[in-house]
Amino acid sequence: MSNLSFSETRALALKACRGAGFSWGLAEEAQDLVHTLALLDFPALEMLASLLRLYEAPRRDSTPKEPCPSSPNWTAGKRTLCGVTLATYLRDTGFAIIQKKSGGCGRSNYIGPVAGPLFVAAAAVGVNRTTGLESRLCWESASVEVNNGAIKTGGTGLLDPIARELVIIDRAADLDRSESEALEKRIANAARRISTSETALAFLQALAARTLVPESDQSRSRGAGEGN
Amino acid sequence: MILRSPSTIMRLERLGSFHQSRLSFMRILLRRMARENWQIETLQSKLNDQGVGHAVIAAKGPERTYTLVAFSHDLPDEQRTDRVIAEAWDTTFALYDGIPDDAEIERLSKNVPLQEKGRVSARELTLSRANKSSRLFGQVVDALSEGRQPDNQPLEETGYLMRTTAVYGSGKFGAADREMIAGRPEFLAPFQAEMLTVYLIRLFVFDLVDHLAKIKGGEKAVRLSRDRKRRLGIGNSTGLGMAPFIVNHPQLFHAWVFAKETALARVLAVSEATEQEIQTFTEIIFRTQSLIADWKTKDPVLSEKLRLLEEDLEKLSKKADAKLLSGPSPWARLVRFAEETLGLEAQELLASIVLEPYGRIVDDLADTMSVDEKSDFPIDGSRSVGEFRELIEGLYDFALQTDFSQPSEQARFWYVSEAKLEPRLGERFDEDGSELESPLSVARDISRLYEKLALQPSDTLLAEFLLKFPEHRHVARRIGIASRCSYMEIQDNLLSETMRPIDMLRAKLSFFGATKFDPRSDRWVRICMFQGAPLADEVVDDRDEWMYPAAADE
Repeated sequence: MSNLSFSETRALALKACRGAGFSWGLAEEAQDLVHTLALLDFPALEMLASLLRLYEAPRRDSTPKEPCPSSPNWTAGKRTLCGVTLATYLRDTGFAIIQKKSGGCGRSNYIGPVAGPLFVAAAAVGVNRTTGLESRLCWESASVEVNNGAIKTGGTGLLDPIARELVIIDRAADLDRSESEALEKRIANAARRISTSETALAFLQALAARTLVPESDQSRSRGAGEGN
Repeated sequence: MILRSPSTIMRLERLGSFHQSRLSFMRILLRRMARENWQIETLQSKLNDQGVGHAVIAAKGPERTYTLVAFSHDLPDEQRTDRVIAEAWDTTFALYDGIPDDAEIERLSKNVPLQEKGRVSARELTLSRANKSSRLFGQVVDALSEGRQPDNQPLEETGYLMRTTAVYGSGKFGAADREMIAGRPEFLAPFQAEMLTVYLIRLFVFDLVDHLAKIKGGEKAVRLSRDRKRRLGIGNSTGLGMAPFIVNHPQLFHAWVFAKETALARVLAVSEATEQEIQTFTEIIFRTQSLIADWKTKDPVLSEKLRLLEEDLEKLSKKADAKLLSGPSPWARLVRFAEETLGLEAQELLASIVLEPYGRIVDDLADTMSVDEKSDFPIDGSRSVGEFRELIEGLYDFALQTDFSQPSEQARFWYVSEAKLEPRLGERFDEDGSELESPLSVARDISRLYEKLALQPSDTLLAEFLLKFPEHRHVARRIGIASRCSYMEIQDNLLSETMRPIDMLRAKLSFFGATKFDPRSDRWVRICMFQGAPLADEVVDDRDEWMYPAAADE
């Protein structure tokens, strides 16, 4: 296992996603979601590696398509939804799109399959901290409740790489304030290091290396000390 | 109170004319250390007859102690290089959180000298290294060993005996994350750990040169005089590695510039200056003329700027006579004079030195110069495309006015090199790799986004647009931030063939407090830090004008 600082974790996430073909903007979102998951003690870089192994570049056909009368669920057609793309879209709308599209019943339609469902939960945590919006996310054998700045997880499937059907509900349990305070303390302990398996690290570093430009005769002569 | 407009201030040529000020980070650090009566003590010095070994220097504040652990090595002259490809250095350092025991020093001895190839822990706040100024270091040791002080002139001209080539913090190579220390009052202002590191390195260098002189000269040797020590700072060699920072941290850069502009606005609002304030300013102008006269460079562009600056300072000095300074709104009138008749260097120098008499009304702004960068991260996807276009028109006129179909406006591209993982600037039409360019092409990307938005129905939600066109997300986020941070954006095209990266470096380094900028090309500069600063036992003095040289004591 390797121990990385939060700064190193963020930098690696950003460059690995870019190397995998994400746009810079989406890579930044992934970086932020990885940071949130790491703060919450999830194996964030392993989860990112797992997502990027499923497919590298989130293409247009892996982005969510809204429900319609003939297709009541959020899907990506025949492909798996990218959890980072979905999380980003939901965060952009403050998760309001779920409520709006569900006809105000407070429960989304089924969404799926989704690669990296925990990234969606990370987005929900971020939205809760900034707007107070509570939510509950459920998928096979897993649930995540976000409220009052606290998070409560359940089930054995939290780290599943793919959720077949994700549901987001705009109600969560009234989580205990003491759970929120414990979360704040964990987040504040920035002296922590992020443990990552060597396998995940090597995979992500290889992706990150794709963002680097090899030397050429022209660049060698210019370097950083050359110029005009 | 009116601040200078971002469209005036945020042009690269003006940013590249910035000077240090009261709100520079090293001055903020030393004022705090004086106010809080920090004590500095060398806890260990184990250097052999070649000067190889280690030393431990502690800086004790009211609540915490920070320790510089310094390693001195025997580096052959032919291996000495400032370039990031170096693998060995004269000295390497870590700033330790607390006081390290022998086991910790042993651990550090195995990693710190390796720098990027080693690994430090969350107990280390910074990792750094420094090389000797080959000619001057040896001259000073020789002189001291012979029982005499070295000549003042080369010390003044060079300004340092050693120069750092990197000072890493904020979680790099395993060091402590910024979040770990951000809540500590002593690290509230930006880069305080890095500034403390460089200050303590300066003290170590004095100890090293005295030690080597003693070894060489025995009883005959003398220590470097206090006056000469004060005249020496720590040099730094900075290239493109630093340039992207002010683009990649827009909220932070806005906070720095906004604080300085607010400070200026407060001073310009002063309706009448006291005798003491006038006297302080007059003295600073006089000492600044000496500072500029000692500022040497072979760079032709800066040489010409300095020649004009000396002329402008003469005009400024004549204008700032007793009648003007004792009249109404003296500083506003003086700044107006500078804007109407003097060059950019003089205008920005005046914007800095006019703050000097007014610590009581500007120094508090130091606490506003750090930000939580995550707070502005989310994009407000509920905005409409039409609204967003209007926002771009209001904020990014400079980008929309640039014709990116012209090759000259896309001549360069920023990238990270595989060889040393460092930022570089490539020539787009002569070099490979532009498909991997870094997202520093702000103006061009704004322009592209604007054109794309024009093709969408105005009432389309931004969230929907970005879902469909994720390649515009990065710059869309910047626009959202810019609507709240008016001083964040360099209002020039960073891809242009005429763009000088050195202007980006100077802007950032001026906030560090650097002086004696000495460009070695348009993308590499040497500077001096802490030249004139108090010595270890003088830190508690509250004199804050040490940046401006007084007459020599001897």
